[in-house]
Amino acid sequence: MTLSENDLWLLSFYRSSEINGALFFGRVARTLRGGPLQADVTHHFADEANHAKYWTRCIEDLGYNAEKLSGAYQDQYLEAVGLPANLMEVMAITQVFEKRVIGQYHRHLRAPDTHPRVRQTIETIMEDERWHVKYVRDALQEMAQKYGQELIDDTLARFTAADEEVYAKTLAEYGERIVFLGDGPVDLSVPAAEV
Amino acid sequence: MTVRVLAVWTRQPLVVDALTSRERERLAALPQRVRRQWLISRHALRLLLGVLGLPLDTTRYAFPHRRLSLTHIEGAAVAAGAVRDTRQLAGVGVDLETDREARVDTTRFFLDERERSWLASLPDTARATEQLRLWTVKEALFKADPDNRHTVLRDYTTLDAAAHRGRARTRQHREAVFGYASTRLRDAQLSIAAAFHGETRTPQSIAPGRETPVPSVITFDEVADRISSTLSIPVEKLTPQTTLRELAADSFLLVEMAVDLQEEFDTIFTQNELREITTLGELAGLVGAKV
Repeated sequence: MTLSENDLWLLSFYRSSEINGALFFGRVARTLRGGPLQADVTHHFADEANHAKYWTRCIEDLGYNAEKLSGAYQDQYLEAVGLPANLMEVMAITQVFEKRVIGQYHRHLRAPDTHPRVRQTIETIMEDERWHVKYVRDALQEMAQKYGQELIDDTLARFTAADEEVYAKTLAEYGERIVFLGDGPVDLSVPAAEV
Repeated sequence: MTVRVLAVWTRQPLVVDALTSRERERLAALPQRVRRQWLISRHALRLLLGVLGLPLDTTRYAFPHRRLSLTHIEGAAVAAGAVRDTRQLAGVGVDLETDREARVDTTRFFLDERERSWLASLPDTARATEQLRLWTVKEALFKADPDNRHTVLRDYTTLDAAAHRGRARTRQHREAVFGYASTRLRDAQLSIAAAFHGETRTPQSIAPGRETPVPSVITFDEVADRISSTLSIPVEKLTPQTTLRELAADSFLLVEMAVDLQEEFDTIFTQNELREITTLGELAGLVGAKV
Protein backbone atom coordinates (compact mmCIF):
# COMPACT_ATOMS: atom_id res chain seq x y z
CA MET A 1 0.00 0.00 0.00
CA THR A 2 1.13 3.51 -0.63
CA LEU A 3 0.92 5.75 2.39
CA SER A 4 0.59 9.43 1.75
CA GLU A 5 2.94 11.74 3.59
CA ASN A 6 0.08 12.64 5.92
CA ASP A 7 -0.84 8.98 6.54
CA LEU A 8 2.72 8.20 7.51
CA TRP A 9 2.95 11.28 9.69
CA LEU A 10 -0.23 10.42 11.60
CA LEU A 11 0.74 6.78 12.22
CA SER A 12 4.17 7.98 13.34
CA PHE A 13 2.47 10.54 15.60
CA TYR A 14 0.45 7.76 17.21
CA ARG A 15 3.61 5.73 17.73
CA SER A 16 5.43 8.69 19.21
CA SER A 17 2.53 9.47 21.55
CA GLU A 18 2.44 5.88 22.75
CA ILE A 19 6.18 5.97 23.46
CA ASN A 20 5.75 9.14 25.46
CA GLY A 21 2.83 7.57 27.30
CA ALA A 22 5.01 4.60 28.21
CA LEU A 23 7.76 6.89 29.49
CA PHE A 24 5.23 8.85 31.53
CA PHE A 25 3.60 5.81 33.13
CA GLY A 26 6.93 4.14 33.71
CA ARG A 27 7.92 7.07 35.84
CA VAL A 28 4.60 7.17 37.64
CA ALA A 29 4.87 3.43 38.30
CA ARG A 30 8.31 3.96 39.78
CA THR A 31 6.99 6.37 42.41
CA LEU A 32 4.06 4.29 43.63
CA ARG A 33 3.94 2.19 46.75
CA GLY A 34 3.03 -1.47 46.47
CA GLY A 35 -0.67 -2.15 45.97
CA PRO A 36 -3.34 -2.45 43.30
CA LEU A 37 -2.64 0.95 41.78
CA GLN A 38 1.06 0.17 41.45
CA ALA A 39 0.15 -3.03 39.60
CA ASP A 40 -2.34 -1.24 37.33
CA VAL A 41 -0.03 1.64 36.46
CA THR A 42 2.81 -0.79 35.74
CA HIS A 43 0.43 -2.72 33.46
CA HIS A 44 -0.52 0.55 31.80
CA PHE A 45 3.16 1.38 31.27
CA ALA A 46 3.67 -1.97 29.55
CA ASP A 47 0.54 -1.48 27.40
CA GLU A 48 1.74 1.87 26.13
CA ALA A 49 5.11 0.39 25.20
CA ASN A 50 3.33 -2.43 23.38
CA HIS A 51 1.16 0.05 21.51
CA ALA A 52 4.27 1.78 20.28
CA LYS A 53 5.52 -1.62 19.12
CA TYR A 54 2.20 -2.32 17.32
CA TRP A 55 2.44 0.97 15.44
CA THR A 56 6.07 0.38 14.54
CA ARG A 57 5.19 -3.05 13.12
CA CYS A 58 2.08 -1.75 11.39
CA ILE A 59 4.08 0.94 9.62
CA GLU A 60 6.76 -1.59 8.69
CA ASP A 61 4.15 -4.05 7.37
CA LEU A 62 2.89 -1.27 5.15
CA GLY A 63 6.40 -0.92 3.76
CA TYR A 64 7.64 2.16 5.60
CA ASN A 65 9.70 3.23 8.59
CA ALA A 66 8.15 5.35 11.31
CA GLU A 67 9.16 8.99 11.20
CA LYS A 68 11.11 10.44 14.06
CA LEU A 69 8.96 13.15 15.58
CA SER A 70 10.14 15.64 18.11
CA GLY A 71 7.96 16.85 20.94
CA ALA A 72 4.86 15.09 22.07
CA TYR A 73 1.21 15.79 22.60
CA GLN A 74 1.77 15.02 26.29
CA ASP A 75 4.37 17.79 26.58
CA GLN A 76 1.85 20.36 25.40
CA TYR A 77 -0.57 18.91 27.90
CA LEU A 78 1.71 19.42 30.84
CA GLU A 79 2.51 22.89 29.60
CA ALA A 80 -1.17 23.79 29.50
CA VAL A 81 -2.31 22.24 32.78
CA GLY A 82 0.89 22.64 34.76
CA LEU A 83 2.75 19.78 36.33
CA PRO A 84 0.50 17.45 38.30
CA ALA A 85 1.11 18.15 41.97
CA ASN A 86 -0.12 14.87 43.42
CA LEU A 87 -1.20 11.37 42.52
CA MET A 88 -4.84 12.37 42.09
CA GLU A 89 -3.83 14.97 39.51
CA VAL A 90 -1.68 12.40 37.70
CA MET A 91 -4.70 10.10 37.49
CA ALA A 92 -7.01 12.93 36.46
CA ILE A 93 -4.71 13.95 33.61
CA THR A 94 -4.53 10.31 32.59
CA GLN A 95 -8.30 9.98 32.47
CA VAL A 96 -8.73 13.06 30.33
CA PHE A 97 -5.88 12.04 28.05
CA GLU A 98 -7.09 8.47 27.63
CA LYS A 99 -10.52 9.72 26.65
CA ARG A 100 -8.88 11.92 24.08
CA VAL A 101 -6.93 8.95 22.69
CA ILE A 102 -10.07 6.81 22.44
CA GLY A 103 -11.91 9.68 20.72
CA GLN A 104 -9.09 10.10 18.22
CA TYR A 105 -8.83 6.37 17.42
CA HIS A 106 -12.62 6.20 17.00
CA ARG A 107 -12.45 9.03 14.57
CA HIS A 108 -9.78 7.20 12.61
CA LEU A 109 -11.85 4.03 12.48
CA ARG A 110 -14.77 5.97 11.06
CA ALA A 111 -12.64 7.44 8.30
CA PRO A 112 -13.28 6.00 4.83
CA ASP A 113 -10.53 3.94 3.24
CA THR A 114 -8.74 3.16 6.47
CA HIS A 115 -6.34 0.36 5.63
CA PRO A 116 -7.28 -2.99 7.25
CA ARG A 117 -3.83 -3.23 8.83
CA VAL A 118 -4.27 0.18 10.45
CA ARG A 119 -7.80 -0.72 11.51
CA GLN A 120 -6.53 -3.95 13.08
CA THR A 121 -3.86 -2.06 15.02
CA ILE A 122 -6.33 0.51 16.33
CA GLU A 123 -8.81 -2.16 17.36
CA THR A 124 -6.14 -4.08 19.24
CA ILE A 125 -5.04 -0.95 21.04
CA MET A 126 -8.62 0.09 21.84
CA GLU A 127 -9.13 -3.04 23.90
CA ASP A 128 -6.41 -1.87 26.25
CA GLU A 129 -7.54 1.75 26.21
CA ARG A 130 -10.98 0.81 27.51
CA TRP A 131 -9.40 -0.89 30.48
CA HIS A 132 -7.13 2.11 31.05
CA VAL A 133 -10.08 4.46 31.37
CA LYS A 134 -11.86 2.04 33.68
CA TYR A 135 -9.01 1.47 36.11
CA VAL A 136 -8.21 5.17 36.24
CA ARG A 137 -11.85 6.00 36.89
CA ASP A 138 -11.91 3.41 39.69
CA ALA A 139 -8.69 4.81 41.16
CA LEU A 140 -10.15 8.30 41.19
CA GLN A 141 -13.27 7.01 42.92
CA GLU A 142 -11.06 5.42 45.56
CA MET A 143 -9.21 8.68 45.99
CA ALA A 144 -12.40 10.61 46.74
CA GLN A 145 -12.07 9.66 50.37
CA LYS A 146 -8.63 11.20 50.64
CA TYR A 147 -8.88 14.18 48.27
CA GLY A 148 -12.62 14.90 48.34
CA GLN A 149 -14.99 14.42 45.41
CA GLU A 150 -15.34 18.13 44.81
CA LEU A 151 -11.61 18.63 44.34
CA ILE A 152 -11.46 15.66 41.97
CA ASP A 153 -14.39 17.01 39.93
CA ASP A 154 -12.80 20.46 39.80
CA THR A 155 -9.48 18.99 38.72
CA LEU A 156 -11.09 16.90 35.98
CA ALA A 157 -12.98 19.96 34.74
CA ARG A 158 -9.78 22.02 34.70
CA PHE A 159 -7.85 19.35 32.82
CA THR A 160 -10.70 18.76 30.37
CA ALA A 161 -10.72 22.46 29.51
CA ALA A 162 -6.94 22.36 29.03
CA ASP A 163 -7.30 19.24 26.87
CA GLU A 164 -9.72 20.99 24.57
CA GLU A 165 -7.35 23.90 24.28
CA VAL A 166 -4.38 21.68 23.46
CA TYR A 167 -6.36 19.64 20.95
CA ALA A 168 -7.57 22.79 19.24
CA LYS A 169 -3.97 24.02 19.08
CA THR A 170 -2.84 20.70 17.64
CA LEU A 171 -5.55 20.85 15.01
CA ALA A 172 -4.54 24.38 14.11
CA GLU A 173 -0.95 23.24 13.69
CA TYR A 174 -1.44 19.88 12.03
CA GLY A 175 -5.06 20.02 10.87
CA GLU A 176 -4.21 19.67 7.21
CA ARG A 177 -2.46 16.37 7.94
CA ILE A 178 -5.62 14.76 9.26
CA VAL A 179 -8.18 16.16 6.90
CA PHE A 180 -8.49 12.69 5.39
CA LEU A 181 -10.08 11.49 8.64
CA GLY A 182 -13.20 13.41 7.66
CA ASP A 183 -14.17 17.01 7.50
CA GLY A 184 -16.99 16.94 10.02
CA PRO A 185 -16.76 18.72 13.33
CA VAL A 186 -14.15 17.34 15.67
CA ASP A 187 -15.78 15.01 18.14
CA LEU A 188 -14.28 15.72 21.53
CA SER A 189 -16.49 13.36 23.41
CA VAL A 190 -16.02 9.69 24.09
CA PRO A 191 -18.89 7.32 23.42
CA ALA A 192 -20.45 6.39 26.75
CA ALA A 193 -20.23 2.69 26.01
CA GLU A 194 -16.47 2.98 25.85
CA VAL A 195 -16.09 4.35 29.35
CA MET B 1 14.96 29.35 83.07
CA THR B 2 18.16 27.77 81.76
CA VAL B 3 19.18 24.34 80.69
CA ARG B 4 22.69 23.05 80.10
CA VAL B 5 23.00 21.21 76.80
CA LEU B 6 25.98 19.14 75.77
CA ALA B 7 26.85 18.67 72.09
CA VAL B 8 29.12 15.98 70.65
CA TRP B 9 30.61 16.27 67.17
CA THR B 10 32.32 13.51 65.22
CA ARG B 11 33.46 12.56 61.75
CA GLN B 12 34.19 8.97 62.72
CA PRO B 13 31.69 6.20 61.98
CA LEU B 14 30.79 3.87 64.82
CA VAL B 15 32.65 0.59 64.47
CA VAL B 16 30.23 -2.06 63.27
CA ASP B 17 31.46 -4.52 65.90
CA ALA B 18 30.25 -2.10 68.58
CA LEU B 19 26.65 -2.15 67.35
CA THR B 20 23.93 -3.82 69.36
CA SER B 21 21.88 -6.49 67.60
CA ARG B 22 19.01 -4.04 67.08
CA GLU B 23 21.38 -1.47 65.65
CA ARG B 24 22.76 -4.10 63.29
CA GLU B 25 19.24 -4.81 62.09
CA ARG B 26 18.64 -1.11 61.47
CA LEU B 27 21.90 -0.82 59.58
CA ALA B 28 21.16 -3.86 57.44
CA ALA B 29 17.83 -2.32 56.39
CA LEU B 30 19.51 0.82 55.08
CA PRO B 31 20.72 1.34 51.51
CA GLN B 32 24.49 0.94 51.23
CA ARG B 33 25.03 4.58 50.27
CA VAL B 34 23.66 5.98 53.55
CA ARG B 35 25.21 3.48 55.94
CA ARG B 36 28.41 5.39 56.59
CA GLN B 37 26.51 8.56 57.42
CA TRP B 38 24.16 6.60 59.69
CA LEU B 39 27.14 5.12 61.54
CA ILE B 40 28.66 8.58 62.00
CA SER B 41 25.38 9.90 63.45
CA ARG B 42 25.06 6.87 65.72
CA HIS B 43 28.63 7.40 66.87
CA ALA B 44 27.85 10.98 67.91
CA LEU B 45 24.72 9.85 69.69
CA ARG B 46 26.48 6.94 71.39
CA LEU B 47 29.22 9.23 72.71
CA LEU B 48 26.63 11.66 74.03
CA LEU B 49 24.61 8.92 75.70
CA GLY B 50 27.77 7.68 77.40
CA VAL B 51 28.57 11.14 78.77
CA LEU B 52 24.99 11.66 79.93
CA GLY B 53 24.91 8.24 81.58
CA LEU B 54 21.99 7.00 79.49
CA PRO B 55 21.48 3.51 78.01
CA LEU B 56 23.74 3.16 74.96
CA ASP B 57 21.50 1.28 72.52
CA THR B 58 20.62 4.12 70.12
CA THR B 59 17.56 2.29 68.79
CA ARG B 60 15.88 2.98 72.14
CA TYR B 61 15.58 6.67 71.23
CA ALA B 62 13.04 8.03 68.78
CA PHE B 63 13.18 11.58 67.51
CA PRO B 64 11.84 14.08 68.34
CA HIS B 65 13.07 13.38 71.86
CA ARG B 66 12.43 15.58 74.86
CA ARG B 67 16.07 15.58 75.88
CA LEU B 68 18.09 14.63 72.77
CA SER B 69 18.52 15.79 69.17
CA LEU B 70 20.67 14.76 66.23
CA THR B 71 21.83 16.41 62.99
CA HIS B 72 24.35 15.68 60.27
CA ILE B 73 26.14 17.17 57.32
CA GLU B 74 28.32 15.43 54.80
CA GLY B 75 30.61 13.12 56.74
CA ALA B 76 29.94 14.60 60.18
CA ALA B 77 27.25 14.55 62.84
CA VAL B 78 26.33 16.37 66.02
CA ALA B 79 24.27 14.94 68.86
CA ALA B 80 22.97 17.32 71.52
CA GLY B 81 21.37 16.50 74.83
CA ALA B 82 20.21 18.20 78.01
CA VAL B 83 22.59 17.38 80.83
CA ARG B 84 19.73 17.16 83.33
CA ASP B 85 16.16 16.17 82.77
CA THR B 86 13.86 18.81 84.22
CA ARG B 87 10.08 19.11 84.18
CA GLN B 88 10.31 22.51 82.48
CA LEU B 89 12.15 21.11 79.48
CA ALA B 90 9.87 20.35 76.55
CA GLY B 91 12.38 19.53 73.84
CA VAL B 92 15.88 19.96 72.42
CA GLY B 93 16.84 20.69 68.81
CA VAL B 94 20.16 20.91 67.03
CA ASP B 95 21.09 21.87 63.48
CA LEU B 96 24.40 22.04 61.66
CA GLU B 97 24.89 23.49 58.18
CA THR B 98 28.07 23.86 56.15
CA ASP B 99 28.91 27.38 54.90
CA ARG B 100 27.50 28.08 51.50
CA GLU B 101 26.12 30.77 49.26
CA ALA B 102 22.74 31.95 50.49
CA ARG B 103 20.05 33.37 48.26
CA VAL B 104 18.32 36.40 49.73
CA ASP B 105 15.00 35.56 48.10
CA THR B 106 14.70 32.41 50.21
CA THR B 107 14.58 34.31 53.50
CA ARG B 108 10.85 34.95 53.22
CA PHE B 109 10.26 31.29 53.89
CA PHE B 110 11.90 31.22 57.30
CA LEU B 111 12.37 34.77 58.58
CA ASP B 112 9.73 37.27 59.60
CA GLU B 113 9.77 40.87 58.39
CA ARG B 114 11.72 42.16 61.38
CA GLU B 115 14.39 39.51 60.98
CA ARG B 116 14.63 40.11 57.23
CA SER B 117 14.93 43.81 57.79
CA TRP B 118 17.80 43.28 60.23
CA LEU B 119 19.50 40.90 57.80
CA ALA B 120 19.15 43.42 54.96
CA SER B 121 20.88 46.05 57.08
CA LEU B 122 24.09 43.97 57.25
CA PRO B 123 27.03 44.48 54.90
CA ASP B 124 27.17 41.96 52.07
CA THR B 125 30.19 40.26 53.62
CA ALA B 126 28.25 39.33 56.75
CA ARG B 127 24.83 38.66 55.29
CA ALA B 128 25.34 35.15 53.95
CA THR B 129 26.86 33.93 57.21
CA GLU B 130 24.10 35.44 59.33
CA GLN B 131 21.41 34.12 56.99
CA LEU B 132 22.78 30.62 57.36
CA ARG B 133 23.05 31.07 61.13
CA LEU B 134 19.41 32.12 61.34
CA TRP B 135 18.43 29.15 59.21
CA THR B 136 20.11 26.81 61.69
CA VAL B 137 18.46 28.65 64.59
CA LYS B 138 15.03 28.16 63.00
CA GLU B 139 15.69 24.51 62.24
CA ALA B 140 16.86 23.94 65.81
CA LEU B 141 13.78 25.74 67.20
CA PHE B 142 11.52 23.67 64.97
CA LYS B 143 13.15 20.43 66.07
CA ALA B 144 12.95 21.43 69.73
CA ASP B 145 9.24 22.20 69.55
CA PRO B 146 7.24 19.04 70.27
CA ASP B 147 4.13 20.89 69.17
CA ASN B 148 5.31 21.59 65.62
CA ARG B 149 2.75 19.61 63.70
CA HIS B 150 1.19 22.75 62.26
CA THR B 151 4.16 25.08 62.22
CA VAL B 152 6.70 26.04 59.61
CA LEU B 153 10.09 27.64 60.17
CA ARG B 154 8.70 31.14 59.74
CA ASP B 155 6.39 30.60 62.71
CA TYR B 156 9.42 30.76 65.02
CA THR B 157 10.70 34.22 65.69
CA THR B 158 13.77 35.36 67.57
CA LEU B 159 13.37 38.24 70.03
CA ASP B 160 16.65 39.68 68.74
CA ALA B 161 17.83 38.35 65.40
CA ALA B 162 21.35 39.66 66.02
CA ALA B 163 21.79 37.68 69.24
CA HIS B 164 23.89 34.55 68.99
CA ARG B 165 22.42 33.44 72.32
CA GLY B 166 18.87 34.46 72.86
CA ARG B 167 15.21 33.72 73.26
CA ALA B 168 12.51 32.95 70.73
CA ARG B 169 8.81 32.31 70.59
CA THR B 170 6.21 31.03 68.14
CA ARG B 171 3.45 33.08 66.58
CA GLN B 172 0.90 30.88 68.28
CA HIS B 173 2.37 31.48 71.75
CA ARG B 174 3.43 35.03 72.42
CA GLU B 175 5.63 34.41 75.43
CA ALA B 176 9.21 33.35 74.83
CA VAL B 177 9.41 29.65 75.47
CA PHE B 178 12.59 28.87 73.59
CA GLY B 179 16.23 29.52 74.27
CA TYR B 180 18.92 29.04 71.65
CA ALA B 181 22.65 29.45 71.09
CA SER B 182 24.65 29.56 67.87
CA THR B 183 28.32 29.06 67.27
CA ARG B 184 30.81 28.37 64.52
CA LEU B 185 32.01 24.79 64.21
CA ARG B 186 34.88 24.63 61.71
CA ASP B 187 33.34 25.54 58.36
CA ALA B 188 29.79 25.19 59.58
CA GLN B 189 27.13 26.90 61.66
CA LEU B 190 25.80 25.08 64.70
CA SER B 191 22.66 26.06 66.58
CA ILE B 192 21.07 24.38 69.55
CA ALA B 193 17.62 25.23 70.90
CA ALA B 194 15.60 24.20 73.92
CA ALA B 195 11.84 24.48 74.34
CA PHE B 196 10.33 25.11 77.76
CA HIS B 197 6.85 24.78 79.15
CA GLY B 198 5.62 28.36 79.30
CA GLU B 199 2.80 29.84 81.34
CA THR B 200 0.21 29.26 78.66
CA ARG B 201 1.90 26.18 77.27
CA THR B 202 1.30 23.80 80.08
CA PRO B 203 3.16 20.52 80.14
CA GLN B 204 -0.16 18.93 79.22
CA SER B 205 -0.61 20.94 76.06
CA ILE B 206 2.98 20.92 74.87
CA ALA B 207 3.88 17.37 75.75
CA PRO B 208 0.97 15.05 75.12
CA GLY B 209 0.42 12.23 77.52
CA ARG B 210 0.71 8.61 76.57
CA GLU B 211 -2.85 8.52 75.29
CA THR B 212 -2.04 11.25 72.76
CA PRO B 213 0.17 10.31 69.85
CA VAL B 214 3.47 12.13 69.89
CA PRO B 215 3.52 14.54 66.94
CA SER B 216 5.75 13.43 64.11
CA VAL B 217 8.48 15.77 62.98
CA ILE B 218 9.73 15.76 59.42
CA THR B 219 13.27 17.05 59.34
CA PHE B 220 15.19 18.28 56.37
CA ASP B 221 17.39 15.20 56.63
CA GLU B 222 14.43 12.86 56.21
CA VAL B 223 13.17 14.71 53.16
CA ALA B 224 16.70 14.82 51.73
CA ASP B 225 17.03 11.06 52.23
CA ARG B 226 13.87 10.42 50.24
CA ILE B 227 14.87 12.75 47.45
CA SER B 228 18.33 11.26 47.34
CA SER B 229 16.80 7.86 46.85
CA THR B 230 14.22 8.99 44.25
CA LEU B 231 16.62 11.02 42.16
CA SER B 232 19.76 8.94 42.82
CA ILE B 233 21.69 11.94 44.07
CA PRO B 234 24.11 11.55 47.01
CA VAL B 235 22.39 12.87 50.12
CA GLU B 236 25.53 14.83 51.00
CA LYS B 237 24.92 17.04 47.98
CA LEU B 238 21.46 18.05 49.15
CA THR B 239 21.24 21.18 51.24
CA PRO B 240 18.33 23.44 52.20
CA GLN B 241 19.56 25.92 49.61
CA THR B 242 19.71 23.41 46.76
CA THR B 243 17.21 24.55 44.16
CA LEU B 244 14.72 22.16 42.62
CA ARG B 245 15.85 23.32 39.21
CA GLU B 246 19.38 22.10 39.98
CA LEU B 247 18.03 18.69 40.93
CA ALA B 248 15.63 17.96 38.17
CA ALA B 249 16.91 18.12 34.64
CA ASP B 250 13.41 17.63 33.33
CA SER B 251 10.25 18.79 34.96
CA PHE B 252 8.66 15.39 35.34
CA LEU B 253 11.39 14.46 37.79
CA LEU B 254 9.84 17.08 40.04
CA VAL B 255 6.52 15.29 39.73
CA GLU B 256 8.16 12.00 40.66
CA MET B 257 9.82 13.64 43.63
CA ALA B 258 6.61 15.34 44.79
CA VAL B 259 4.49 12.21 44.42
CA ASP B 260 7.09 10.12 46.22
CA LEU B 261 7.25 12.54 49.16
CA GLN B 262 3.47 12.59 49.41
CA GLU B 263 3.35 8.82 49.35
CA GLU B 264 6.10 8.53 51.94
CA PHE B 265 4.82 11.13 54.36
CA ASP B 266 1.13 10.56 53.64
CA THR B 267 0.30 14.12 52.72
CA ILE B 268 -1.12 16.06 49.78
CA PHE B 269 0.46 18.99 47.92
CA THR B 270 -1.43 21.33 45.64
CA GLN B 271 -0.16 22.92 42.44
CA ASN B 272 -0.24 26.34 44.08
CA GLU B 273 1.91 25.17 46.96
CA LEU B 274 4.46 23.56 44.66
CA ARG B 275 4.62 26.66 42.49
CA GLU B 276 5.87 28.64 45.50
CA ILE B 277 8.68 26.21 46.21
CA THR B 278 12.12 26.84 44.78
CA THR B 279 14.53 25.15 47.20
CA LEU B 280 14.78 21.89 49.08
CA GLY B 281 14.60 23.76 52.39
CA GLU B 282 11.25 25.18 51.38
CA LEU B 283 10.09 21.78 50.22
CA ALA B 284 11.08 20.23 53.56
CA GLY B 285 9.24 23.06 55.30
CA LEU B 286 6.15 22.32 53.24
CA VAL B 287 6.29 18.62 54.09
CA GLY B 288 6.80 19.45 57.76
CA ALA B 289 3.90 21.88 57.74
CA LYS B 290 1.53 19.41 56.08
CA VAL B 291 2.29 16.25 57.99
